[in-house]
Amino acid sequence: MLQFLLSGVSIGAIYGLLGLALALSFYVTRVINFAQGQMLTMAIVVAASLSESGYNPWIGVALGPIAATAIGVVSYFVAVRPILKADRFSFGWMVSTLGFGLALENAIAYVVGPRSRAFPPLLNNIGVHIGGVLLTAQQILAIVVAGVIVAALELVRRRTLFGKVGMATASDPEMAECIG
Amino acid sequence: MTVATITFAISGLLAGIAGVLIAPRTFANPYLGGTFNTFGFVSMMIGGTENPAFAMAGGVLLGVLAEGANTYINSQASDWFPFVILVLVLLVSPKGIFSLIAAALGQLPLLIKQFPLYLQRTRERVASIERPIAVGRADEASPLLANPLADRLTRYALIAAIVIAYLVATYLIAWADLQGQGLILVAAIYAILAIYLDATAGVLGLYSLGVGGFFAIGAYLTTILSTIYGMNLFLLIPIVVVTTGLLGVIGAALLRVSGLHFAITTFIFTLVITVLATDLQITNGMQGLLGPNFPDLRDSLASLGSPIVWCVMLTLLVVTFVVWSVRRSLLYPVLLAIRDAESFAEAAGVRPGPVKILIFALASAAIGFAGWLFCFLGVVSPSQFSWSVSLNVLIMILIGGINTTPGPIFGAAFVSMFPVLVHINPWLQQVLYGVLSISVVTIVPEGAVGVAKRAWARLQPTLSRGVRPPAALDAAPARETEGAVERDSLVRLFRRRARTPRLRRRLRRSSNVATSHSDMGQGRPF
Repeated sequence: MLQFLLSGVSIGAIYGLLGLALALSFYVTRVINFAQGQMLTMAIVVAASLSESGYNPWIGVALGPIAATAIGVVSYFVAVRPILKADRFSFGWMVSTLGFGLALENAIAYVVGPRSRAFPPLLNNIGVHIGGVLLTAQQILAIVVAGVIVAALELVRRRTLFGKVGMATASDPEMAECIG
Repeated sequence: MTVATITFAISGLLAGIAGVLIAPRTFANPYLGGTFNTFGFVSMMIGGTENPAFAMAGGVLLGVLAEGANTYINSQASDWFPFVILVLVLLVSPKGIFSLIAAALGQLPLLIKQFPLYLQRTRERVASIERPIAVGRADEASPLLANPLADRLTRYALIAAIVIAYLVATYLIAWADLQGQGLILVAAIYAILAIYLDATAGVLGLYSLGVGGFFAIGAYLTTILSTIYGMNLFLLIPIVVVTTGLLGVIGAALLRVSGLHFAITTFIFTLVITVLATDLQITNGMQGLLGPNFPDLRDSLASLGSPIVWCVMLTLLVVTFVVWSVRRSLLYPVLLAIRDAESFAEAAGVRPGPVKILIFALASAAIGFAGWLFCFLGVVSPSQFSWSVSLNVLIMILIGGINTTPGPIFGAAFVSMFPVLVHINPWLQQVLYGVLSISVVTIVPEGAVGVAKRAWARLQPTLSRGVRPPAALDAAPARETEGAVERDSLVRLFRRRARTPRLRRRLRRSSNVATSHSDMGQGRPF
């Protein structure tokens, strides 16, 4: 019982992070970025390639998300901005973000090859016992990181100017644009 | 650096972090993204979109549900169980569980606040009843009626030419080699799908991503019932059509059809169908089922060639004609009004809900029929009906030109022929396809037909001086003129209706009521 609850929470934290990423961009621009999963792939592939070519796997872990960030910005400028500029209420973004994901996915497959490769285990080899339940340190890390990120985002949203601007854009884009 | 840019950067970063967190437990594979996209998407939908943090709660719930299904049902259940939950959640509370809870807490003050707003809106609606007929000018020459006899003759000649060309083309295809035939048939079936999606998306503004789902139901139902239970193929047509049509009615009615939400839910519908087709015993998993053979013609007709070609091409013709005649009919402005100004259409006496449901159900039934046709072409397997089919069909429409009659056909032909025309590395080909679909929606949103129309109008300056606008009628810049055409037709519609005495009386009575209401509401003399 506790076993499946905890491992469920840890995999759910991953889903939640991705959902959080989707929800954030949806919250501000009313666009669902269907290329979000491919950003995750990008991070994994960058990290795996770096560790395969002999670097410390943690360098890959640091650089992977940065690559994904860059892709996120590119996806906005390529697939979302032109459409929102033309017509904020059109559904063209549905096609363009899915198309962006498709292009990215296959570009990755073209560059590194379509086969599956092993990923360095990082913390996955360390077992931790919690009340008779076995979890890996990686799973616990996922839960902790997810918790920290949610708390941080909520703080940013409530307390800082950026968060308030985001909220304003979410509730009334035209008004927000008028003010600046 | 705008807010949106930073937001997309953060969301990319979050996805990246999620990636390196999960990676040690999976493999590094380029095609992981799609699966995770789905799960992230589902957690967002379960949680609700009002606050980004709800998505995390939804994700945790999803993870626990999936692991629970894995432990207590079987390992396949974790594939479909979360989706079933999601559909239930969406039916109960379209905004997600956590939004519902939050909403329930904040409901009371909102209700109180909304009541005056509601009153005001009702008042505005009542007041707007008078506007269209007063503004519309009946003496303006209507483009629909302006054509004299000569034009009509050329039109008949054109129709005859099209029919002859169609017959010749079909005959040639029916005797073509098998590879080319298969290609064209697939293109034709996609064209049927595209036309129907265009009818719901272009005309009514219902962007459905559920094409793949209805298509799959049609094909699987036919294959299973005919090969396993040995039912008559032609008896299956009504069964398939009624099943998919009813599903369309139920889906559309339950979802209180509207914009983005509709797109998302139909997307998930397709996902569920694909997952079910992969996991169930009766559909034979990923390998799929071999479709039934199409019955041969009698010997006397054997010279016509392959019967399935005739069947598919006939359907394409009928479908094109039906949608074309809807565009020409008096119903069309009503449908456009529902798309562009729903509350106004409602005030003018149309009931948008039932009309939308009806059109969507008809389109679903027709897509089911396309599935019936499709299963004769060979193997029926889950990968043919995934969400990418729905995407492809949308791209077809957008490439061809949305809300045009030839557009979907052209788009379907182009997209189906694309892998044959472009002989390069398959991954590069997919990359090119993705880039193409982005550039179509960003650079030429009105599609090939729109571009062609604009070029044609530039070639013929006399044409553009007429009532018709220089650009395509349906292109966004021409909205105002489109409005004029619509108004014209509406005026004619009402006049024609009012010829029958009963209706005239009703119309008069309603306008009286409207007058008195607007007097009361706005306090201004009529």
